[in-house]
Amino acid sequence: MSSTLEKIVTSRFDDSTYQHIDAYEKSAGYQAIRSIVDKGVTSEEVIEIVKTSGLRGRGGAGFPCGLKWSFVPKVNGPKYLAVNADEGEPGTFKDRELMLRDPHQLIEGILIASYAVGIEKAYIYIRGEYSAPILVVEKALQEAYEKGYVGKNIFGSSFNCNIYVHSGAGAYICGEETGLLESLEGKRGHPRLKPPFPAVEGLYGRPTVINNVETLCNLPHIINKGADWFSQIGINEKNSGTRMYCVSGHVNKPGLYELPLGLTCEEIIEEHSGGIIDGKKLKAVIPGGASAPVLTSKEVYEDKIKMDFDSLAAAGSMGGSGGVVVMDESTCMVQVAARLSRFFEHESCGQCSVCREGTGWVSEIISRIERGKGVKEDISTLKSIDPNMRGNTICVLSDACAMMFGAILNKFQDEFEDHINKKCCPLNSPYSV
Amino acid sequence: MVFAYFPNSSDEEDFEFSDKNRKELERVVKKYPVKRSALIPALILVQKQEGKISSKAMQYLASYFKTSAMEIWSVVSFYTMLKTNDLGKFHFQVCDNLSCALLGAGKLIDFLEKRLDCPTGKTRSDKKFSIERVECLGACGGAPCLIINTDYFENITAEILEPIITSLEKGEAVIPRGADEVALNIIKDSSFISVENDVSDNSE
Amino acid sequence: MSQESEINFLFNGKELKAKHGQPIIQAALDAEIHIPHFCYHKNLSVVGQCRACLVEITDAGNGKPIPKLQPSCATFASEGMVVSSETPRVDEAQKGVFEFLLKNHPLDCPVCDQGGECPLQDQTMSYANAISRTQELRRIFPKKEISPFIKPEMNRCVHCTRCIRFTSEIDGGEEFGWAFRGDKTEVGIYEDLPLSSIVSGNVIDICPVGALTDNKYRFTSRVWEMEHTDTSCTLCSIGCKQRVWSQEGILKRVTASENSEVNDTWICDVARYGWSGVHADNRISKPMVKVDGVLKEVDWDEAIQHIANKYVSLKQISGGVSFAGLGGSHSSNEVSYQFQKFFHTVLESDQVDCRIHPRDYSQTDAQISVFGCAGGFATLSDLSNSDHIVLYGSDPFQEHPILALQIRKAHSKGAYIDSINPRKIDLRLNNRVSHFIPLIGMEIVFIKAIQKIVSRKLFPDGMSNFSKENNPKGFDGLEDFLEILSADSFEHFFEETDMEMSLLEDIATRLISNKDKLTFVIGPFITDISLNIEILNLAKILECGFLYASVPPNLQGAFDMVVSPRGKDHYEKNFEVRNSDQVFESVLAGDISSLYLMNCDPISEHPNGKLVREAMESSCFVVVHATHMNATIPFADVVLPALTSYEESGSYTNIERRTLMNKRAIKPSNGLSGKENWKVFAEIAKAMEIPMRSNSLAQIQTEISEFFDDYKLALTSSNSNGVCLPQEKEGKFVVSKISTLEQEKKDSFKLILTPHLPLSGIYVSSAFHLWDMPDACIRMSGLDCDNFGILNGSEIEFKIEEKTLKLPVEIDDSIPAGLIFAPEGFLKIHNDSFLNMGEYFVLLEEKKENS
Ligand SMILES: Cc1cc2nc3c(=O)[nH]c(=O)nc-3n(C[C@H](O)[C@H](O)[C@H](O)COP(=O)(O)O)c2cc1C
Ligand code: SF4
Ligand code: FES
Repeated sequence: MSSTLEKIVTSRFDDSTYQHIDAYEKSAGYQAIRSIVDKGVTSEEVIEIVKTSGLRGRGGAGFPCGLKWSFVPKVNGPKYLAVNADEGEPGTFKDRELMLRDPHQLIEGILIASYAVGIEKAYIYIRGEYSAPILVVEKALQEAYEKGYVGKNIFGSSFNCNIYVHSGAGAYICGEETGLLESLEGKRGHPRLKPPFPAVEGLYGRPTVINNVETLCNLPHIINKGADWFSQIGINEKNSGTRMYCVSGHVNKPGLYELPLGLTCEEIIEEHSGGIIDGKKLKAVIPGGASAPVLTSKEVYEDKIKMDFDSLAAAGSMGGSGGVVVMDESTCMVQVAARLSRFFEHESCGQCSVCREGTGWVSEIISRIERGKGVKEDISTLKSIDPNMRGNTICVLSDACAMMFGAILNKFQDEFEDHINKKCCPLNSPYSV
Repeated sequence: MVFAYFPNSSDEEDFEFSDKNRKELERVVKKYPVKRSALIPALILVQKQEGKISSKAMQYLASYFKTSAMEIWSVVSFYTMLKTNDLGKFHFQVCDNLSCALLGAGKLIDFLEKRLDCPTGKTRSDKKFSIERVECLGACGGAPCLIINTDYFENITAEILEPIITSLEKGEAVIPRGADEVALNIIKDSSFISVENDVSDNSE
Repeated sequence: MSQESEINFLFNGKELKAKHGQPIIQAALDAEIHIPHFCYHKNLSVVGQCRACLVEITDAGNGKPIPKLQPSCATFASEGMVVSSETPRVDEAQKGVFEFLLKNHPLDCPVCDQGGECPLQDQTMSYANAISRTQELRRIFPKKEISPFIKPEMNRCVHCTRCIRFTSEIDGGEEFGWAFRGDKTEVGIYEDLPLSSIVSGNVIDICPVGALTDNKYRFTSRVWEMEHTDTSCTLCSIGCKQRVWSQEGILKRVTASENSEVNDTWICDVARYGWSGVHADNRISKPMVKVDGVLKEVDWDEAIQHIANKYVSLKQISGGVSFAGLGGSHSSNEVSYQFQKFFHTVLESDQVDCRIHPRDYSQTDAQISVFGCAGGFATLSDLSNSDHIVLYGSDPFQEHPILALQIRKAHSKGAYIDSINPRKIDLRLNNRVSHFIPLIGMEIVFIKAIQKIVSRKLFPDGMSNFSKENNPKGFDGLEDFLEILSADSFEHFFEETDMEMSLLEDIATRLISNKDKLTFVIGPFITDISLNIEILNLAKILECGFLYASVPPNLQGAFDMVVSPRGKDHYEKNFEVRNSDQVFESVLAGDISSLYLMNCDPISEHPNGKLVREAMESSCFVVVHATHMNATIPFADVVLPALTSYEESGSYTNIERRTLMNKRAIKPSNGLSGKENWKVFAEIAKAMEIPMRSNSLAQIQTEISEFFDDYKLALTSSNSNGVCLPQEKEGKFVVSKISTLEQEKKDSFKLILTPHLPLSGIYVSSAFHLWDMPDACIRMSGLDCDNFGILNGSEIEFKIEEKTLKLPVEIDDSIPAGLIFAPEGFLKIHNDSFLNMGEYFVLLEEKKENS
């Protein structure tokens, strides 16, 4: 069944020759941007196509892409595109492969977005650990510059667009869009107060669009095959197209699966990822990266929750970054909560008192419970910290941390209580998280 | 006027970019309408040249970017990849975030500590190896994974790692494992083998 | 909605008004409604990081609520908004925020200096849950010292980042920053580069917890044991509002107080620690009379009778002309008034002058000749709202730190700064600033060249279309002035200035295009009267405002009180005006046989030290009325102890001609037989049997108000920010002689002594807390040091007029080769080396391999 599903952004993944511009061009590469430039399609028309396609951001928030572009005011002077390739959400590894295997697809996507918004400078912010993707994208850019597809007077038109690669240096918060901009300006990656939103005042105080790599990679296909084609893939017009599900953890075939939006979590685990390893039972799944609240095995197998944006939101979780982390029955959920809260503690930028102290505190309490040193009040303390960490900060890292531990605590409270009562980890889990 | 209450205790050598790196920095600066944007690339260059970012280098960059050393330090200390201490010639960054942990990152670290005779977070006294636990490396499909210097190694077990370490000890080339393999032809000149040469050039 | 219109909105059910672009929190605070906050500070940028100020907005002014709670510091009030800080949601969020803030805050309030005035403590009482649920260990940062003045206890830090924003936005040094991230985030300084800015002490005031406290005040008192008085600082001519704290008659500390028109909420460290001079060992505690060449302590009556007897007999022998009085620019207006009145009416002498240093009379006289009066031509608010500022011989961080902050404020709002100075001064700015460094002696040519380009641009058709009708008041003499300008060939100017034409064109273009919001700041480096006249001519063509950054704190006030031999309608002028140089010459010549020195120290303050000393050694009868033992005292026949402004009330007039009323903070300190300075003159007069009415300060003020109409307004006003007294510009263009100054002496270096607030003058030299400021040093260029083999930090020595100046060298590449800088009037009691203010030619010896 899986073989009949249409691939979009991973359609060239079988063959590494697509890293090079010749092979890419032979498979319809650079036709989308060439056609809109040649035909003189207006930027409004491009934005309209993207709006109709229903393409939503693949970076985390799932914000409609065309709508985001339309917020950019029509002003003179520089505007910027920042491509979010910081991919730091635990469980997510799609942008890395998109850049490694098909860098020109990204470049073409950037050109289309820039054309639509009237942008002449784009920065691809790639996380510093990704040294191979950085080199691959730089190489691809060099090829595209040589051909005149990037730079001045692209395809002989008046459309100019320079694209640069910018390397990060190890900070998850630089994936948050305004943290990314600060980092791009050479500062600490502190997310900015909003408003003003980056569409109005972004990089260097100028209107700026921030898009995820996967979001942009969809654009050439939408232009080539039409908005309607795209909107018919997926479950409905608000959840159209495919997603790259990054399946990891206790499954037989971990890896990347580009699947239409709207499959159930069960289908993704059982049919595409080869089921749980060693024939064990499922305990929990994180459906969209560490920030997305966990789903229980009941939610997966009985409620048959679908993995599109809106279904996950309705189930109290979120599509997030597409990172699907599967945990089998032997997993200690207190350990999982402790490990992930340590992640948020480590990655909080530290400017908001709520997040700086909250993430640290939560992480300390859960680790203590996990070590068997928990006390009864810890659970009520955690439960009262949870709402205080939501909605009260500059960015949503604090919310993400609260959503993460809040869901684990609510759905697996018995495990926490067990730890406290037995003063040790009752599961004796084989995996030390 | 520069007031000095306390003498500058730093006895490090003054920092200077090599000609090659200075040229590279000049090229990078041109990418941005505002010079300051080149700070992180500049820091990465410093680290590539020196193996770490010294106090003198921060002061150098402070005057290069017309700001204070504190400003530079506040950026350096924010980013985990920027180091102010000496790393080993081979620096192991082992992911122990959720997906990797679920598939045995903990055991992997135990193995590495024993095999390399080096505790996590430290650099071995002969500066040959260092180990660091890091957050998600974005290669969870190949969990557990780690980075040696700049190259990814995915789906790693002690058995797979053993010959890799032996090769490193012998000074033999090692190729990345996992998704990076598709880019071997492109990254071959820039992977850690050449970085290693940079470091040893410097130490001699 | 127009920009000016006020915004009406509902806050906790109350109608509030806000200005356009004003955050909700400020509108509430202005209406005395408290919203908890830590990071918000009205004079710093808004960061919205502490999250304590969250409010619920049930109607954003568009009929719709904002779903999330919003930080009221980062949300502008808008018309029709409905905001509440009292809903259960806000209450819950506040409790949460406080719990987080306290999570790692140590429980050391009983030993914390901030106790009693701690926003964290106070707001915790009002907004937080009483119990702590933390089981975890509290965070501990490594200990670090950051400056002799500021004690860090960073474990108490709540990361409000006010200190960081202060040093980056206001002070510009960017010395504070944060390191690391998450809950390891550590606010502090860089390794061994300590806080060094002269305004860094402000971080003590703005820190909302006890993380940064006053190291000098540490553990010496507690807030509730002290009294405090808001006064204005009298240590320089800006007059910042400060709060002076004392306990049982002993000063304990000084903190900043707000004067939005002068210093916002900042003071410099000289103000913060200068109070220590009041309790210095070298205070003069008793009157002294010289007997057989030795000063002997006597009581007040005896000293006053001694002076009176001498004055009566001198007056009989040679009349009023034999009396001269110097000083007043360090005293209050009331003291100055009494001082001159005593001279004019009791001694019948016109020779009284507040201007000791030649630059003081050069500054005032130039203004009188070009504008008809001195002072009142711009305000500090004008300055901070300028689009263009020209600093002429002014180095504000060295001389008037708060002036520097106001200039930086203008810059932060987009102003362009041009500095004309012998060295590249440091305003901690990286853009929109140009430095012009004319060769010494060539400044006048430089100004003339600018005048020339400006007038060519302003009057392109020459004089032909320039008629008397559109010739505004005070443009008299313009024709002559322009004619002389056009007579000199253009090229001649440029050859002499050694500057590129395009640079001069640039500055001229800037001057003209920002003409309406242009302010000049003319500083103490300009001592020559022609230089002063020519810059004023330029100000006149451009019709811009200017501030004279004078060195003595109350030069303006004393001059207004006619402590100058210029006479005023009220007093007849009997004889020719002498400046201070000429006074000393007359003393030497025997024409003047009595000197009254009011709070001044000419031996160290006057550049012509040799002349002063010789004059003092002559048989002149010298009365020194001073607060501290100084270099002139050994030459005194009678010494009278003076009170400091901390001990005596009075009014002062700052560089804007703003009159500030000061209340004394303490009674004269222990062991000091203090007598109010203003009383002394009437008592001498009484002893001379010539009555001089003065029963009270109020009475003197009434008299001042009668004499000087505009002061009436100031002295009766209740505005605690003081009242500015602008003056009408009149006068005419004056053509000064264009002479390039002294020929450069070959092979010699020019040593320039410039005022440096924490080092110059007897008062600050006695303020022992200021001894921890960076020591005086000789600053010269790296080039010269290299050529002469001088190492940074090594000591060098100059012989100047029988005195030696021996100080360590600091290499300073803002200084051009050939010049050497040192602080003027530098007199450190515990070191006993001092130099007169002024400029000298010195020789440098090559230092061979000796370190
Ligand atoms: C803490 C945090 C981390 C984030 N990290 C990433 C990231 O690594 N990559 C990414 O594409 N988006 C990330 N996002 C989402 C971005 O803020 C932003 O929504 C996205 O880049 C927008 O692109 P899109 O509309 O194409 O999805 C993160 C958001 C938050 C709050
Ligand atoms: S919520 Fe956390 S990560 Fe986000 S800005 Fe605030 S402190 Fe930084
Ligand atoms: S005062 Fe508003 S967030 Fe700190």
